[in-house]
Amino acid sequence: MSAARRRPPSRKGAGPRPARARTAPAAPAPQAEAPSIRVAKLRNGTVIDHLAAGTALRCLAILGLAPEAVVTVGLNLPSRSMKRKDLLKMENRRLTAAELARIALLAPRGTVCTIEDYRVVNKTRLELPTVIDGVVHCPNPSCITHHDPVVPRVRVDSNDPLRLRCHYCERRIRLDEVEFVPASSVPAIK
Amino acid sequence: MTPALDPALVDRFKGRDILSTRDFTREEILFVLDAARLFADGGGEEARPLRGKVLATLFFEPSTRTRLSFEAAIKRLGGNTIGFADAGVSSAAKGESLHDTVRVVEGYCDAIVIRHPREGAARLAAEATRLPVVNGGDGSNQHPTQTFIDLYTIREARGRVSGLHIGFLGDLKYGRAAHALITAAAAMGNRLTLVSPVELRLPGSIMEELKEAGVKPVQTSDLEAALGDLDVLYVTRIQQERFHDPLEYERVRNAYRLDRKTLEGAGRKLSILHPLPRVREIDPEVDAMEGALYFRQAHNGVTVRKALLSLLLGVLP
Repeated sequence: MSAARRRPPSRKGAGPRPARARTAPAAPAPQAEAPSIRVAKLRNGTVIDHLAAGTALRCLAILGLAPEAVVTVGLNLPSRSMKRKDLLKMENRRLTAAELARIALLAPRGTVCTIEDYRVVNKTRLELPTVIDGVVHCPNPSCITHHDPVVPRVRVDSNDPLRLRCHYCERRIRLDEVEFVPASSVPAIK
Repeated sequence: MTPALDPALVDRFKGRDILSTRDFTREEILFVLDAARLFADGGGEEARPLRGKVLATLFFEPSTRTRLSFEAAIKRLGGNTIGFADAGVSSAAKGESLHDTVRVVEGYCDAIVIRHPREGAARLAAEATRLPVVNGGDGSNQHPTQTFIDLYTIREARGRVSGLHIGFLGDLKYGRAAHALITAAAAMGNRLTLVSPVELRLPGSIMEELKEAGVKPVQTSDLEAALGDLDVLYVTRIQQERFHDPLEYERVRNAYRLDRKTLEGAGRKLSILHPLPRVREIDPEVDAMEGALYFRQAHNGVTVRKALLSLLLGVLP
């Protein structure tokens, strides 16, 4: 285990790391991030890392995973760059562009690794498009999107800090107001 | 009459929608004010440049000044209007979507002005048609042509639209004319003081946006303390129709009343604007004061809207 603890954090769960715990220890690790990520290796699937602490469960909820899905959740893991972060490992799961946009709204600094046969075959940083269609409801009850048949559209005014605005009524949407359109009706992202 | 206008900007306005003050740069706002000056005092009417053009006025909400001044503007330039002034007489009453209404009407006209109680309706209408769409007010969101009129009136009176201290009084929560002008006045580089009852303060999202742009408006409920330092005071009506709770309206309806006595504390040259209609917020005795510009402002509606319609339709005299 001590060898595993010295592994660099970029492995994101790939490789022969023995499983011991599902979440991090309570105290922050003073040295590297690796010692805290004591989770099962992933053969095929997706790892979403660098989620802001406290957002992983919300990410899971908006992904609408099947009941039988195998998912490892890391909460409040120590992170050198973020101090605390969350992490998700999903077995045999690939994310669509629409799903990535949803996750990006909650975790604009997140990274996504695609794992195949224990190897990281693709690693990308989550990025928001400038316009997101059909993903977020406008929270303004007087907005035309609640009264006429129209796909809700939000504009991303800024990525960091994340600032969203309803394309139609122009109202700023706070992150704590974000209400997602059900995953089953997500259209293509522009 | 047009050589004074920058041809590149004239091109930029041809066929354009006028939906929100946020869609315009400072340069474009000043361009509209310059263009409007060419249409003042009957300017541009003799040539009747919009002969044969039809403007559809789709007013799903009551309006006097906006609708009539648009109608006067296009008629004075030789064009004509069709439309309705009450959603009850449109197909919306039969359940037709806004999108479909606009798709139908676009076959009858050359440009559309829409007023709608729902925020964002004008932008949705603009997406449904290839014609230029003008937002005549969408809920409590925006009223951009009113902003052009307000700025035009301020420039007439003060000679400039930046570097001024502008106060806003009244319903800053629901007032779309105030929202649109606050956004534009901040972008033009003015100091802002916002005077309202606590219940009717500017929405937090707009305040946040101003702060991000480096503008720090003063918020207060004390009109008399704020008056002394202002160049312009923009008064708005407390809009009963926007209140869901009648008790809340009763609490604030008489919050402010501008009269000669209140104005004793104001600077001698204070310019007073109001998008009208007024109810109780300005005593009629103020009308005769030199700085009372609100009727002039209403008349400027025709001048500015003549300019906008000519620019959008790409037919300048």
